[in-house]
Amino acid sequence: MALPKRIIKETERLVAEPVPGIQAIPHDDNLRYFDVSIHGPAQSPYEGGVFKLELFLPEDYPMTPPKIRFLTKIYHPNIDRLGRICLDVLKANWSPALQIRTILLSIQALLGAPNPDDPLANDVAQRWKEDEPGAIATAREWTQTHATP
Amino acid sequence: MATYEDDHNLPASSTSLKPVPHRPRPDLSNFFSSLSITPSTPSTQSTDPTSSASSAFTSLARAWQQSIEGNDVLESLIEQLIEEAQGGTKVKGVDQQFLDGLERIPKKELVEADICPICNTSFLLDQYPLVVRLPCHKSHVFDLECISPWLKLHTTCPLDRIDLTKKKTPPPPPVDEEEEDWDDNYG
Repeated sequence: MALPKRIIKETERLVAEPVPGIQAIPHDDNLRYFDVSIHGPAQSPYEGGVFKLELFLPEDYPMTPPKIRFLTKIYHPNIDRLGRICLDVLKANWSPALQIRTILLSIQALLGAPNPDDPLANDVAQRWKEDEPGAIATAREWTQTHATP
Repeated sequence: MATYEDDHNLPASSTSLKPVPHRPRPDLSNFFSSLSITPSTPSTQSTDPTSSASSAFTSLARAWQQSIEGNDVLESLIEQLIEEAQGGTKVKGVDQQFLDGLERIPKKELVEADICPICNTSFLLDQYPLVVRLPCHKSHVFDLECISPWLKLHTTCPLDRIDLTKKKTPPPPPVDEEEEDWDDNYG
């Protein structure tokens, strides 16, 4: 099936005017599959890290959200050990007016503002609530170990 | 560690799946014994081989049946899945009448810079644009072709998530006469 015009336009814009700290490059052989990297936001435990993600646009995109997963290990209450992300706009709150770039910005914002009250990684969230400094220290260590190029 | 249930946002009740120490399994020994006995019986030649095989499978089925009976966990899981499957069909968008009743924007009111938020393309790139306005806000304007598949599955505006079915009903569908006028302009 031909690639919808919207995907072509989104891709062109992602390449021509990239979002600062975010890179999304489509595969040559599958233009619905993107290699994504997100820089950890400043002032967050992920600062200095570069996190790799994979992004796939399903057949019925933009009626359904893109499928996104962290490939780089990350210590975050809303990201589980398989890299799956707990983010409302990726599920129930998806809207076809959202785009790859807005979703990636939301994920970058999630790194800057972890939300342990809506956890996906339960153990991490619990630690975040009980011992926030310790959890942040672990997140920083993991960033050093796994996300530093 | 996050459990499977946590990851999948399942209710805690299904956690009881794991602690069950001895889950009854079908006893395969009956099945295999009935298979191995068959060839050695003196009446082998006279017996229809398919009947012995089928009886072996019947005993296997019976064993499965026994293992399922009394297994509340499995039963409740099945019930839960059925419930979810049925619940899924309740998710519905608006009907065709709603789509037909949406306010249409005439081409002369559109400018080059107006783009559809779904396809991100200027309405005017289409020689005969079919553009509709949602009742939630004056500026929430879409290609009918883009908004229809969304509204058939959801009742919310893509831009502000307002439930369109809860607001006051959209303007009534245009009367036939108007519809024909409209067709003259754009058809």
